[in-house]
Amino acid sequence: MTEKPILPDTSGADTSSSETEFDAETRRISERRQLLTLGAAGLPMMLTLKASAREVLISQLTCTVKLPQRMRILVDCDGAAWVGTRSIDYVNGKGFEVADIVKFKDKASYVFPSGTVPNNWRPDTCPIEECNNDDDDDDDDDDFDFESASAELDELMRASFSDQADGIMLASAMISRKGDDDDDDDDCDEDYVDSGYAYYQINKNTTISPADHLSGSTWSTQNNNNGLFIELSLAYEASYGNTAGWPGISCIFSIITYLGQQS
Amino acid sequence: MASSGDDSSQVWTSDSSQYLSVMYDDTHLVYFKPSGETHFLNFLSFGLIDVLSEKSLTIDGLHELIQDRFSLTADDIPKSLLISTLAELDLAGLVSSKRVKEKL
Repeated sequence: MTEKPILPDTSGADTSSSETEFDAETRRISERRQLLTLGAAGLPMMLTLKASAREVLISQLTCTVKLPQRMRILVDCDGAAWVGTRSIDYVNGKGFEVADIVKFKDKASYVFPSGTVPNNWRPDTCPIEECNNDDDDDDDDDDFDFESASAELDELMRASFSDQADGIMLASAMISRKGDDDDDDDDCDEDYVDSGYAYYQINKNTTISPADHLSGSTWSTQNNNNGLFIELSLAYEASYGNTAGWPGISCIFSIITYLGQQS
Repeated sequence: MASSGDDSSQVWTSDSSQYLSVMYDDTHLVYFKPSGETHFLNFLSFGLIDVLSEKSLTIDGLHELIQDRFSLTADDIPKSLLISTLAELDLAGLVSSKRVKEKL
């Protein structure tokens, strides 16, 4: 509804202002009559804006995540996870190549601590430590320089963790790596390991809809690779909030924010 | 739940605590909190919820009061228009009605 602007009176006559008010009221009533005539003919007397606050809230739920690159996830028996892009070969009858696992962990972009990944995605079989003989003469430890790693770790510890999210992850990776020498069967001097790890792969450009993993207002992740991605996303969000890095974290964050608004 | 509104035993009401409104010229933007929706109301539809926020009324009482409020006549505001507008407002949740039991 548009209205002609009421121009200021410049004639200087005292009576003109009251006439203007009268004219304005007359015009207003006339316009209202016209509107009512249109209403009687079927024109709606109210409109609901599409860009309403509700639409904004719902859009928080409908966001999707499209993976910019292939994501590979290695999960151990304790629920720790390593996320990266390197491949790990699995040889039938033998298992994963230990060297691949070591490299994957070493180059992982993200490391999640034990307990992060629910049982659904942990390996079906876990090794029983029987080869923990430290006085063997194998060279398994040669691929890891404890002295230099320790020095790097000390440096990281001195750095401010609050503004070095990647540093924390790297430190975690080193700690995990250090522990790996005890539980990766390295001491058993095997080239392959057929238990103790589950390995998942999500292809590049996979579109994930986090809201599909919601039941009511609570998370209920589906038992598939995308569900694992959601679990790791939630773990990342719990530690780092909406800090850029993890793919699609802003989508996850917006849904968590939405759920918070509803509770 | 929308209803026809053409019932003298129906009393209409509105709750101003449920919405926020801002006036622009002769129209009103109304944000209805329970639904999270924003509605664009003209003088008549906003006048209805404004009047009904102050007092619950039957369709006849509302018809009279709304004429007085806007210095208009029954010819200007046909009762059928009032009823259809109430139905729109009812669908949006901005007004509601209840049937009053007639005394025996």
